[in-house]
Amino acid sequence: MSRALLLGPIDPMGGRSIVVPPPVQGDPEGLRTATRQLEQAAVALDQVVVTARMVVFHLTSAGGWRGPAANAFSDGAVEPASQALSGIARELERVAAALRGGANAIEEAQAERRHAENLAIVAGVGVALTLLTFAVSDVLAADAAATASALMVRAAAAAASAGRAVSAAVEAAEEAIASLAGRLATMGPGLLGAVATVERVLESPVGSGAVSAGVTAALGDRNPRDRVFAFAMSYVAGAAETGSMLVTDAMPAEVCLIADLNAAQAANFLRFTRRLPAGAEPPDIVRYVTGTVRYAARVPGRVPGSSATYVKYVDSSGNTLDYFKITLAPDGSIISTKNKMRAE
Amino acid sequence: VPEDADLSARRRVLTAILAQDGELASNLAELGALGWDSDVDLATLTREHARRLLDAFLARQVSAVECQLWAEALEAREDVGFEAGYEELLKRLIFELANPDITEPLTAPRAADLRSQLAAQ
Repeated sequence: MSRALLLGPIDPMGGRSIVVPPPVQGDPEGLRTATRQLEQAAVALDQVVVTARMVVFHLTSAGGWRGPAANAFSDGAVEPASQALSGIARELERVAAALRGGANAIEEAQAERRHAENLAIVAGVGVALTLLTFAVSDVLAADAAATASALMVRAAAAAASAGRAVSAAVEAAEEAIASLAGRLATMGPGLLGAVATVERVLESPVGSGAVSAGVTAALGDRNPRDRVFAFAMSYVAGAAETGSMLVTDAMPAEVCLIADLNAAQAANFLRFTRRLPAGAEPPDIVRYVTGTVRYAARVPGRVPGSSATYVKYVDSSGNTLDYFKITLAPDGSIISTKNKMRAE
Repeated sequence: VPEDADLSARRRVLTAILAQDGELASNLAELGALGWDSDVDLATLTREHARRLLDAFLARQVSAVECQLWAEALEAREDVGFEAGYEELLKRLIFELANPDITEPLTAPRAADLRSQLAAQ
């Protein structure tokens, strides 16, 4: 422990003082509240991503929407947006972790400061905000003041270090989020252009939904959550209006079934198939231009015409991004959707 | 959560769920906050686990909904293995319990039937 003290002069009454740092500022509980809010926001974003992917799956693989526009919507719009949103969620979690660490560090620093003050007071040292005073003749008090001073310096340094760590984490996350949000902002016009290539789709309610979502995004809406909701809800609305019949032009074979997996994705695929329920049909694999792959396997129910479909998204490193199950009634309506990763 | 801590926590929670130890809802909440991917089995579902659940249902200690939640939590998990030699049987059981809307609702007669299938194997 450092004993370098900022000693003041001996006053006429035989007293001496030590300059110490001011009490540790900070609101650990406030930081923890912010931590929880950030974590909840991350969960909300993750749910948006799951919802968007479920909508895409329901409309394309399960709903029968096939063709270039379907591919453009799924591959070029929703999946990149989903990945950007997942990235933002991870950044929010990173900030939350930094805030939690900061809260703990500040709380410990404040406790150490209080401990130092008590130590000094018990030994007869006068404690002010930035000064410890004691009689020169009182050896015990002088020693206690020196010890307390060192503790206070250490507490202040720890709190300052925690503050810098929080600031650095927040700045890094802000930069990353700005980059990801910027990526989202480019998706509106791109989607619009892709969809515009298929006139038939543009004339359908679903196509109209895509266009309106694209325009919404292109107008510069800065809230990514709203944007994906716009994508998802416009397609849900389109599906409802058309009774899920949608466009039926043929899906290119290279998009329909691609087994071009890297080693990590292949290992994940094996785990996926190994744990599918008995009676599962052969899974299909769709690979997106972003490198994400989707595995989906249908398991017929015992009720004729019913089924459960297990759908998994895996990133290029082989990590599972989402895993959900859609249960369909014999008439094709959705009975339930379950997020397997959240043990719903 | 660091990976080692995550795997350790998952092993503990999965073991508790399989053995029906503790509050199911809180175990599920904890499991949902943990990771998914695993190259190894962290817990193993056995016929005894399934028998115990069905016995509890028949004794009205757990509801059909709780049985569904239990099976749903274990269904398709890549970190839960199956008792050697009984994979198909246990997979079918889990699928039925987790998906009563498209298989068969769990009733006392059906539970007794499933129980006897487990005993017969």
